[in-house]
Amino acid sequence: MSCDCREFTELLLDLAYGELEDGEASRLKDHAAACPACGAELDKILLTRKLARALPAPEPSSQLEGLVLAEAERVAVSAASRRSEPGVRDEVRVAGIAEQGPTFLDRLRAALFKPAFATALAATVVFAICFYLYRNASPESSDETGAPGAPFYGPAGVMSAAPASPAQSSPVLLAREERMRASEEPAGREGAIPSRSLGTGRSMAPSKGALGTAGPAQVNPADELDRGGAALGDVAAAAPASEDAPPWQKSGGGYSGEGKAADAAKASPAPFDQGVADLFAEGMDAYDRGDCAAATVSLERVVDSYGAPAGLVPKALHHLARCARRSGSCGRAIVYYERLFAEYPGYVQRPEAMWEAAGCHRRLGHVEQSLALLRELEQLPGWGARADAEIKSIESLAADQ
Amino acid sequence: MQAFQTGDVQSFKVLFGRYETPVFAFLLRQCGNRDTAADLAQDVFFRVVRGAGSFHYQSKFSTWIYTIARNAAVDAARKARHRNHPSLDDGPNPDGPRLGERIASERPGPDRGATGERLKVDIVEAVEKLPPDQREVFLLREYHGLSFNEIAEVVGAKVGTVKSRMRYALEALRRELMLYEDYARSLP
Repeated sequence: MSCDCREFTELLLDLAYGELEDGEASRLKDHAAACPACGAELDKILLTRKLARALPAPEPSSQLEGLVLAEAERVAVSAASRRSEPGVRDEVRVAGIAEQGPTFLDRLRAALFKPAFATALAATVVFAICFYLYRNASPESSDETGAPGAPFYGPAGVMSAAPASPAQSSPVLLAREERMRASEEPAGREGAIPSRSLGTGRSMAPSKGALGTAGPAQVNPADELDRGGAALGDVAAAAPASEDAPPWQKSGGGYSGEGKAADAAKASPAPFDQGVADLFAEGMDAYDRGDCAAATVSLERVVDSYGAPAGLVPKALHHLARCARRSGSCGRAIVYYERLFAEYPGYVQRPEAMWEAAGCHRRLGHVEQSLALLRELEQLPGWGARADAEIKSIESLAADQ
Repeated sequence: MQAFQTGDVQSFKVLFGRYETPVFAFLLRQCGNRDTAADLAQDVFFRVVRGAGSFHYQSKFSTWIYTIARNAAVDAARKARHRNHPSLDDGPNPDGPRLGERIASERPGPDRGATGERLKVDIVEAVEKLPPDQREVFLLREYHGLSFNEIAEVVGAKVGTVKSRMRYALEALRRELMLYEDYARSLP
């Protein structure tokens, strides 16, 4: 069986690059041998391919390996530590290293198809609908109050602590309140905050005063952070003042009044740490996503925070430097690196940071600074050969110039 | 890759060793500047490390990493076009390597006039002269061993388009290197 020139032309590249099966390739080769024009076409491509082999393969710099493997190590360690925390599977996936096995959606899908689960789900839905209809049909329907559901959940203690709105002071509501007071035991419940009242919506949520009666432990740090910068300021001001804290923190003034906030912080310093830790996590997530602008904003706030949990600031500085470096600003990166080296000499990733800083200095033409870092790095275990090779490379370039 | 997805960094080292030079070479040929190529290569491998969890073996790893590399090179070229800071040692081709790089790395000295050495310089220049879309196809097929179907996946074009670009690239190279035809016939 033969083929025509048109088919040969169509398959010429596949033939020249060995992408055809043996039978078809030999058929086309037979055609090329018999047809001078097609043979010449094939010959031209094969000759060009021979010449193309002369293209030199450039070698990357030795820096690349160190940086990439350090990053792989960081991601793997981060993923492993986060994997050990419950409920962070999706975050781990974002970080890059996915756990093996079915995802949450896979398991949900599988569960939905199990008869027992499906029956239970259907029963729950029916029960919820019946319950909803029953509530709406009740003479004590919340429609009268304009605050759906709130009186059902909220006992007298909370109602009295909440700010009075026109709806709450209506005759209908007051009458219900009276009935509820009468039906509840008189002592022991006053001032108590039922957990469900917090879930009934902002309009009926207890005021700060009501929360205050339950003590500082009831304050939800997430709520504080939800309120944005001002909340952070409150929390920052609430941090315990240390000897090396700035004057505004020692005095307790500045972002919020002294006294209450500082006392609350003494009782429970967690919200401050949590706020900085959240900022740090946000920054690292943004860094992992490659969003250096967002990472820089969050990490700079971590660096500027006083009393941040130990270990976060040097890591934040390191990643700020990496962000600057990645966005092509080696000068800014060096400022972060130098602060890191000066303030945190025991930083665990100091060798990697030194290696990166040396690269930045080299890029900026700061040969002496680059060599100084590399010579220091050369003394560290595991870095000798790499640093030595880089020193020689820099010295030979300098000698050429 | 599977081993790295379970947290085995050593296995990534093996993978990195396999792709380090080819990816860097591809980026260098595409962007023409060693420093830029080094930055891009770092970016590519960082993306591989961080995106390892999103790789689900729907394509070959090589296709995936070259897609990342190709996109990085395209982005860099786009950014470079928006910058107007020609360096004094830039060559006539703004996308090409700078004078220092050409002299230091690929141009043979006056005492090395052998055909093979001249060819090395001329092939570099001929490849640089190719339009980027033809050059990427040529590099991926000729030096990185991707099939035409895989290249189509990497560059987001039809296989027919890829083959057409390849034909143009080979034809352009043949014209540029016509002087070496006899030399090529003598090669094994």
